[in-house]
Amino acid sequence: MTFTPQQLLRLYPGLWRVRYGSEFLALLEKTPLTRTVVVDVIRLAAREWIGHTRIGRLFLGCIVAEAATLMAYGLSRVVPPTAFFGAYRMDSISGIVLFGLSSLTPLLVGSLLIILRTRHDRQFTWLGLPYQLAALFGAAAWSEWVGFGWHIAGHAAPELTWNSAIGSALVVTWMLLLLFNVDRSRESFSPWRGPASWVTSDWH
Amino acid sequence: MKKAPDSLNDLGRFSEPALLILISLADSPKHGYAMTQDIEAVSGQRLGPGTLYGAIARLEARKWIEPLPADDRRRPYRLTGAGQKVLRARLDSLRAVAKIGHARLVEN
Repeated sequence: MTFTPQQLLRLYPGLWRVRYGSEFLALLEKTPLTRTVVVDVIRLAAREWIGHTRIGRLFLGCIVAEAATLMAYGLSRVVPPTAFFGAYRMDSISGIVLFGLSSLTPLLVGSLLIILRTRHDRQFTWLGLPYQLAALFGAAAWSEWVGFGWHIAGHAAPELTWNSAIGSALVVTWMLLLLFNVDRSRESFSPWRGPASWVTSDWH
Repeated sequence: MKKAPDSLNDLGRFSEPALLILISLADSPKHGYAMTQDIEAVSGQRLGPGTLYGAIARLEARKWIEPLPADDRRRPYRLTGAGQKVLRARLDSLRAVAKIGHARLVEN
């Protein structure tokens, strides 16, 4: 697979591109884009996302949570029932549901932390209502989804209701807001963009 | 050996590229491509663009190098006073290690 310098630059967080994009592109244009160079450039992009943006850390958290779920699922299928693990073996549908749920955990926890940490920002009055509402309904939907996963796994749990459908829609909206808000300039701000502090920056 | 505060070791996997960048900027300001060429000539290592800019960003954040006004799209960097101190300390440390290594080779 071949990449152009512009495509490689687009892998980097917006604030990084604002600071280094132009000079980095000039360097990429003068450098033969061998496989080693492309891997080097992609590796730094991943580092910058994870090291400097909260969404990068959330994404990493999702991957770790999903890997943990996969491992737990695999263990529950492979390891013979013991006194420690009990007799329970996860079936494939509950495995899939838990896999999906596990990716939400870091997003929900991370988003709540961000909201709590930014509450003293002067923009918080604008942000507060939509984000807190989404958090509230999201938490409600989350609890029902967990119940649903538990139910599929063979345990008694409350049935899915309209609450969870509305909550689910709000969670999706919330996550979309997260995704669209993380990579904005610190100066421009509106309720539909994110708080500046969502992007931590050493990039001046 | 006790680690000096604000040492290059704090830069993790970027500590070696950072040292090479500081050495490259020790005689004159350079932009990214010129640094790559200079480092290759001095050390035989060709730094990838990602490694180079990863190290540049970290050195700049610590104020060991600073950007100069851009020439077209290329932006030169120069060593700061703090960067000179860090570089000097690191080179002294390397010289001490090299001296001990050479002495042990002679003993054998």
